[in-house]
Amino acid sequence: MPISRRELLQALGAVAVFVLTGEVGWSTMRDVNSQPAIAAPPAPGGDVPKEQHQWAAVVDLRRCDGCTYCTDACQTTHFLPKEMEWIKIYEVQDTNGNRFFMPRLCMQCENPPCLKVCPVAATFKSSEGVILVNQDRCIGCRLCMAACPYEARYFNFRQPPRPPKSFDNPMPEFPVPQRKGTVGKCVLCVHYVDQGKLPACVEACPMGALYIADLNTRVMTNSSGETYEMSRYLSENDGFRLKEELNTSPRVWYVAGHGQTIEGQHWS
Amino acid sequence: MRPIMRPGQFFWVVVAGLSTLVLLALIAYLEQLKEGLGVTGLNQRVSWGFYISDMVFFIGVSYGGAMTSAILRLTNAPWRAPLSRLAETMAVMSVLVGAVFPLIDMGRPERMIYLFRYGQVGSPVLWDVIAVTTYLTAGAVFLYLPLIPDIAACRDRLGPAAGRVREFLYDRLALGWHGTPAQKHVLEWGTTVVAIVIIPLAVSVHSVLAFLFGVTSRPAWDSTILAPYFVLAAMFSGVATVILVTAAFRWAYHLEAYIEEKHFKYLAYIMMTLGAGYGYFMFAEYLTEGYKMHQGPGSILELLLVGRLAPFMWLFGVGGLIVPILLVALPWTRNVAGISVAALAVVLAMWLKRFLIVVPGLAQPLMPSSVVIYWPSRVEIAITLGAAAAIPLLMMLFFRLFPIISIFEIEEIAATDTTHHEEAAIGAAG
Amino acid sequence: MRMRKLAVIIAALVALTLTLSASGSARAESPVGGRTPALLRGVTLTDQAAGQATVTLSAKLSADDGTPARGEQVVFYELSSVFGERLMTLGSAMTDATGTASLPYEPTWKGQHTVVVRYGGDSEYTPAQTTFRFQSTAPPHVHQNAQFGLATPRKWAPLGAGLAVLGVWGVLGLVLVRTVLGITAAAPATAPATAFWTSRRSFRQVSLGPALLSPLVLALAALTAAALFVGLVLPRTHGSEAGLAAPAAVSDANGVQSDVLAAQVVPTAPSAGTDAQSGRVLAARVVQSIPAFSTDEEGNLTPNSPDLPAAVAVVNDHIFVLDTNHGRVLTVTADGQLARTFESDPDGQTSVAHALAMTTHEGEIYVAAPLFGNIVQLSTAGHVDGVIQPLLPKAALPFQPAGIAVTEQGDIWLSDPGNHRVVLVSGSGVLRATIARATAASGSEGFDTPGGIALDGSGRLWVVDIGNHDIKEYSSQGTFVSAIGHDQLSMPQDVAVDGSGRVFVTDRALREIRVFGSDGAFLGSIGKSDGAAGGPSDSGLQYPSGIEISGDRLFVMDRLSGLFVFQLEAP
Repeated sequence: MPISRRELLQALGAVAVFVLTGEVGWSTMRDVNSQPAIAAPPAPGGDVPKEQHQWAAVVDLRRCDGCTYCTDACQTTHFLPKEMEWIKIYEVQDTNGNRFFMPRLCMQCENPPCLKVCPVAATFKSSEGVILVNQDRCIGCRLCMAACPYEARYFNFRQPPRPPKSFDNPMPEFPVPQRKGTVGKCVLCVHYVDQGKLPACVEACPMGALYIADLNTRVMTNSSGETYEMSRYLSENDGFRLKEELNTSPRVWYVAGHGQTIEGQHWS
Repeated sequence: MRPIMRPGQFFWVVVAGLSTLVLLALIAYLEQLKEGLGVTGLNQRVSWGFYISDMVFFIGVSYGGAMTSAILRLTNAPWRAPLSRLAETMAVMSVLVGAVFPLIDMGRPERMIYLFRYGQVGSPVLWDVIAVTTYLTAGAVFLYLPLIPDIAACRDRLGPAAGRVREFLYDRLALGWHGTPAQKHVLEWGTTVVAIVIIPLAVSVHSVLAFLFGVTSRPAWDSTILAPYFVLAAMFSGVATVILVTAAFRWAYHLEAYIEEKHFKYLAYIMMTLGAGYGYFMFAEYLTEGYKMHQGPGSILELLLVGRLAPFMWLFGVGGLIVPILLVALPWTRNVAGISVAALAVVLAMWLKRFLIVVPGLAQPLMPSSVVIYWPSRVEIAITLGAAAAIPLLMMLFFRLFPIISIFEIEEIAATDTTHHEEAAIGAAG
Repeated sequence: MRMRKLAVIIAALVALTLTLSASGSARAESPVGGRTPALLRGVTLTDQAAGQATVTLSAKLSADDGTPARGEQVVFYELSSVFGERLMTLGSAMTDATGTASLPYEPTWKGQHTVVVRYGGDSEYTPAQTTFRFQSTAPPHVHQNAQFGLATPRKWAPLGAGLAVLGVWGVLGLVLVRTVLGITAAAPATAPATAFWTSRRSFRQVSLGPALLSPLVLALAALTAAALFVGLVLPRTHGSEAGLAAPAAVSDANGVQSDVLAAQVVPTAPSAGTDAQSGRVLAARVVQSIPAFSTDEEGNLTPNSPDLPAAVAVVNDHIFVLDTNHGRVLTVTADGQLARTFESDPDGQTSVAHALAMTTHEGEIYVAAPLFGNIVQLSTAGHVDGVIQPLLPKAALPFQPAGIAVTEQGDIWLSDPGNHRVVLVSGSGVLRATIARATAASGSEGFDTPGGIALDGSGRLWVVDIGNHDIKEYSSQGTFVSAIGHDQLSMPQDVAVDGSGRVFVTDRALREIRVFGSDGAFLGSIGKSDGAAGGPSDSGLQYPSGIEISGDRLFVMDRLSGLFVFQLEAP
């Protein structure tokens, strides 16, 4: 029994429309780890070509005194409103009653929940492993903010402050100025580290508590010039990561001293 | 037919009132477009508030349409006939309104097209878009198909008196329906297939909405029961809304002849059963969480049961579950009025419950800080009220064109079950 | 209680000898405060077969008579340039009975590695430092992202869901189509036919056949969907996704990168033709040397130890050292110690952290600071007398100056390596002149990577061009005059000109100071032994950087070994 040509065509037409719209998304989703290389300024120094770096960070909790110079430096560098604390200092009280300060920046997770839930791939991973936000594409749904277990993402509820000079080309590596209605977060100052400079927070820390690190060359350094080989430093100092059980594989390690425990503390 | 031709003054008053609410909502939204989402009460911690609660709520109540129309059709419940048109219309309109809320909540609504250009199949937001559009299409089809004979009736019985525009509309949309056996057969087939499809679709829509929360690591949402929980909540609130809508339209349009008390009772039984089921789900979750009192879920439980949000939670529990169940269970209150009150309580309480799922999940900190307070702003309240007004408004406008009671279904049932009521209905509908 | 006295009584003189190939150098010290001079020498690396992942770094510590010093802690460092020049701590080890301390190390990049070993000294021994190099042929370490389970199902699950969704849409479409057509087709002939629908009847053939039809169409739709997915989607996943709108690319990024890398990673030896000349040594003797790090009597690193100091400046016989990585300026006291003169305010505009260039003018010190791209003017007492913010046209990279020189009129020449240019600004920062465009060039066209700069007696400007391995000469107006030293330099860092017009250039790869006449004639080198190019150097130059001339004295800042002052013979 014959099927009408029209029926078949119309059914196929509906299928084709869906395939074409879903195909783009499907292919982008297939591998969250492979993203197009975004052109960024090259490093004037460095034995290793730029794309062979994998950026990470180390925080020495023994040294942080809660001065929040890092937060100020970050907000100044990126012209952020006061509520956007891309690096934020928490005052923590653990179960033994000790109080200490804990800086939290974007963990640059290797298995990032924020990237997985973004409906338009506005959040992506650069070739150096840094999670960036393309504010030309972000639709402002804020699911990434709900999904981030470290509360590291912030939303531009209003028009952000205008920087004095004319930055007419904000890009994910240097998102200045921020765009209203989109999400912003710590970018590990890739615009600086790609040139061999330190991120704003790392440079500003007077205690040298923040280290920027490269997972390929295993170099980590802070604002005081103290430079260590990362593997040995972390193993000697019992470096750990936050919320390891969530399998986000964050790239920020913490080193704690006596009287400083992250585990088992009261957080609510 | 009368409402279609000669609406009373009352009609215009209500329309004006609802339209005002919708207009206020539009103005509020324009303000939000201009200033950004900062006009809401949202902050960096509680980044979802009224809008997302509204989205879940309004899409949820549409499930009542699927419930009443589709499930009852498939189970051949004869008493559903006068209710089905109302239920289906309510379903479509509330999905329409509910689907607008994600756009209202977006920071960059003009980039909506990116959802289609760059859509990521791994994102719950995209699942949401796909599921809601599919469900909306299915609901529209499900509304349209049984409407065809009624449109034909309008075409035949109202004729040119309805005005040139309407005459044209009826003529086209009726597709040349004349009730021939062949046509009836095709329509029967089509309606049944869509009824079958729309049930898993509705389940998927609400499951996907639940996944929006369930894929995060927040203690309040990190629960495997979330998807069934949401589906049951949708069914519960949906049936209650059907009751409410039916009661309202019955009173306003004087449809007592077609919609009797027994319809309300049957619906109320269903609602009660679903409410008990919902209470069971809550009990199961709270028992397992409360027993162990893990840091995250335990703190939220504390917040909800004895903490700052306790008054709202108990208001929901008592007003939304216990009182309606009592109202339905007790014979003295088991009448149209009592059941309507119960349904209203359920509807309001379920909105509150949606709010209590969304906001504490975000207010509860994941990092060492304290719980954050969220208060809605007038923009959010205005838009919520506008949306709530838009649904009956859309329905009333719809019923200016098409009959409220489904002639087709009544005739269909009369063909299998001849009782006085149905026949009288056919005659009176003329 | 003086530990010194005890040490003198107890300490036995220990002798140390170190053999070893290629590169090792030691600094022997005359007894300081009664402590035995210690010698530290790097040990040849074993297991340097191609592809070997781990090497063992060793150093042998002994007294100057050869006796091994055991049970002492030495620290191993490596020079890293990932975040600017820094000494990366690799780890520490204790010396064993033979005085050898070893540390296993996995080099993470290919090519040249510079290892610095330090012994901080204690009550018995003086501090000691050695530097050696090795080549790593192992492939560079590449970090692997964490992998998680269920990768395949997680990847393919969306496909299944997508097919289901397509199926649903197919069903809905089918229902609509069949119902609409079915109803209109089955309309009785007596009914008034409307033009819209009748015109379609002619080529329609509707059959209300059995329900088998629907699964058939469904199956067809599913097959088509699968085919389209396989055909269109799978090939695309192996390419890059062009969906993202790429931000405007920096135009000359790639060109610069490769040139700069070539300069840094592969030091080129001078061409064979000038070997005869390159052996010539200029007469100069060391009159003062101050090590880059020092310890106090207890063996702790003094607070004034500089970290990779890059520049030196002389004001009225007072010597100032730019302590680059600590962001401060130190001065040399009368007894040859380093004292703090100026400390940077970490979050202030006066920070000199990571500064590479320093000069003097009319009794004031000028430091070219890269943090904010400004010039910090200091008095000899360490007070900030001014901050000059050069107002430069916007370029691809932020302004991070590598060279500074002040003219007699008070204008300031600055080199901007990132943007391949040298600029002249007034004392208030207003731009006066720019040499070269913002792209890498050579010869009279411009610079590849300009480094240190200097002005001679007649106001002419000399600029080190690291990338082109030469020194360029410009008139005081900024017009190109000549380029010298092209075949004689490998990795020049800084330049200075003496009263008779001789041009002195520090070369990092050759580890010496090369001297040229203003016409470009090679006059000789300072700081190299009679050995082959790159061989051990008696004066201990490991990483000569800043250079300054005052009168007949040559001041050289070696970032690893410390400050050297040479007495120049008259030409």
